[in-house]
Amino acid sequence: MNRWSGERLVVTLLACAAAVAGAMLLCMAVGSKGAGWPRLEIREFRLESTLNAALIGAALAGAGVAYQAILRNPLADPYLLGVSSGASLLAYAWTLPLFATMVRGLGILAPLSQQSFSFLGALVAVGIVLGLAGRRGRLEPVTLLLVGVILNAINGSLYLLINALVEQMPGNGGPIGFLVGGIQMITRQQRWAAFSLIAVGWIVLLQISGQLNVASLDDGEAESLGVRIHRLRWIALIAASLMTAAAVAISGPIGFVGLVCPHVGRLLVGTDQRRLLPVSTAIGAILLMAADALSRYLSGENLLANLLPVGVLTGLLGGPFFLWLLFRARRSD
Amino acid sequence: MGQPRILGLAAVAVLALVVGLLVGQWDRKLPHPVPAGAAGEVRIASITPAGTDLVIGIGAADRLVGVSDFDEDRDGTTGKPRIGDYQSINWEKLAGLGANVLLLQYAQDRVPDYIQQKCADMGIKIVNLKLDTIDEIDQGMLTLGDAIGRPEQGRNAVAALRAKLDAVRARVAGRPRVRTLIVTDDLNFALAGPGEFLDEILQIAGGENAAKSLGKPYPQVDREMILSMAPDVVIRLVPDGDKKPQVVRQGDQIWNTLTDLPAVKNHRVYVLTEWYGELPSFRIGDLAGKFADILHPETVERPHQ
Repeated sequence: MNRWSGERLVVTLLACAAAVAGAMLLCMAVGSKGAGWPRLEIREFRLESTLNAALIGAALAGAGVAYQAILRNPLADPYLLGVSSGASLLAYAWTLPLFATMVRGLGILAPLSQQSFSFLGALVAVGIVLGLAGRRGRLEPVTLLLVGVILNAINGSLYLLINALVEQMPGNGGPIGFLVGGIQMITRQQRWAAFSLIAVGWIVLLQISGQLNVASLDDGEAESLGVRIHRLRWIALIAASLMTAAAVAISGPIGFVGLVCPHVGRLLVGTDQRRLLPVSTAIGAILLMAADALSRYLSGENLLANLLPVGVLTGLLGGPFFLWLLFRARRSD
Repeated sequence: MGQPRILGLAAVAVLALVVGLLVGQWDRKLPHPVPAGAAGEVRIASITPAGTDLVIGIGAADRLVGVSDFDEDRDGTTGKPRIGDYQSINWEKLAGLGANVLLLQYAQDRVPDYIQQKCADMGIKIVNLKLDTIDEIDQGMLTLGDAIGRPEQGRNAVAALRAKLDAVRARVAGRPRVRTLIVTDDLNFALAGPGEFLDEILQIAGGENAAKSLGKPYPQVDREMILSMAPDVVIRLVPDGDKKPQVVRQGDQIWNTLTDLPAVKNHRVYVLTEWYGELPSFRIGDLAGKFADILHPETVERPHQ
């Protein structure tokens, strides 16, 4: 493992921040009314949208790095442990008349927002997965994966069951409302709340990123290097799940970012988690900002006149780029 | 693997194929339950709430034997069995009800093959309604009138609906058109664009569609685009919103962020929670009346003191 100084950390963070800031300026110059620096009232919308995209992209990519390291699985993504299915389930439940009745019945004066409710759903789902997969304080990657997959399937079935029972028309706040995902309708308070949780999770991950380098070794080897691997798994998973839950709660599930950005980061800076985490986080932010800008641009009246879900565009933008990087790296080997 | 073994496996595969085809044919010829009603009586099942409402609108609720899972309980549907929706149909239930007409609302030529095949097997006539515009809604009622063998009921319903729309048109005649946005989903800013029934009844009610320039029936836009449209009035359609106030409140919060929008500045963002708000149904006359009440409140008749 290379030596890692405070100076290198600062340089890495500054370089990532500069890249994100540059991309943010470019993305703000694009919108549904065309390209160019916007006037004041429009600038506010674009800034909000771009900030939301950066925050969510960063959270998903950062969490993806931790999941892939801890689960020793390159296909792991932040939604593997049931976060998005739990969030979607409760976000949908929130839209039903039954929820209004329940809130009235409980006498709660200030009803929970959809985002708080979906955050709760995400936390409950992760809690169940960690509770079931944990055994005497130990977390085994394979058990975690299996429990996560099963919980996702159960949540999906519950979602369909509720949909079948309540017979709600698709449309306003209907069954697919939350599943589509989006970053346009996030209030300032929600953004700050999500930012706080994501920042806490990310700082924890950065703090343990050096130890995450040994997570890919088998348990015995890791312990012999002085890393308490099971404790490390708990900390990393809780931090990464908190970040994912905060992001999913305000945006709905946006796929691809958490899966691919860590791989792109690895191709660019290698596998050292201390560098990989900030770089992947920046890539996630940039990818989602670019997707959001493109989505807004394409929604212009002379183009599609339809705001495409950013998740669609992250796949279309990030996928080919990832493949290009992959083949370039293979050619140079 | 020796040649005899391969031949044996091939023979088993061919045999299985033949048995499968025979079973398939046998299944197609299975006798289905005899309709419970009198011979020749039209028994309608609907998987589209708009179609259900048109049947009720032409005064043929007595012919409805099954309705969609999405149908509200109301006069004409209460107590009627639910037979499914556009995603899945309970064929066993449908057969048990003796339905011989099935109302659908798919894009033309897009009726799934399995529905066509199943209906052909069961002797059920498909009536696929196209209900994008008011003319098509009229045509739908005429088709349904013909289907039940009472064409005059279809014609009468068309006349009644047209009279209602004409009354709304007359009420707002000569008044300046109000630039309006009709929103069908607050969360994704889904709008009613030009060329469909909501746009048409907005014009009848004295409005002008602010989303006209987008040139498509159901555009979805961002806040920047909403601001550039500068509507004086926003009408949010939240069917059954009275039963889920949290959804309405969430929409309120979204619209309140658009402080520069003329409609928001002048407190002219309205919510309609009627269950038929987004349906191309017989109720569009009532919906047009509600639009006119919002756009031209001065024309609303007040009860005499």
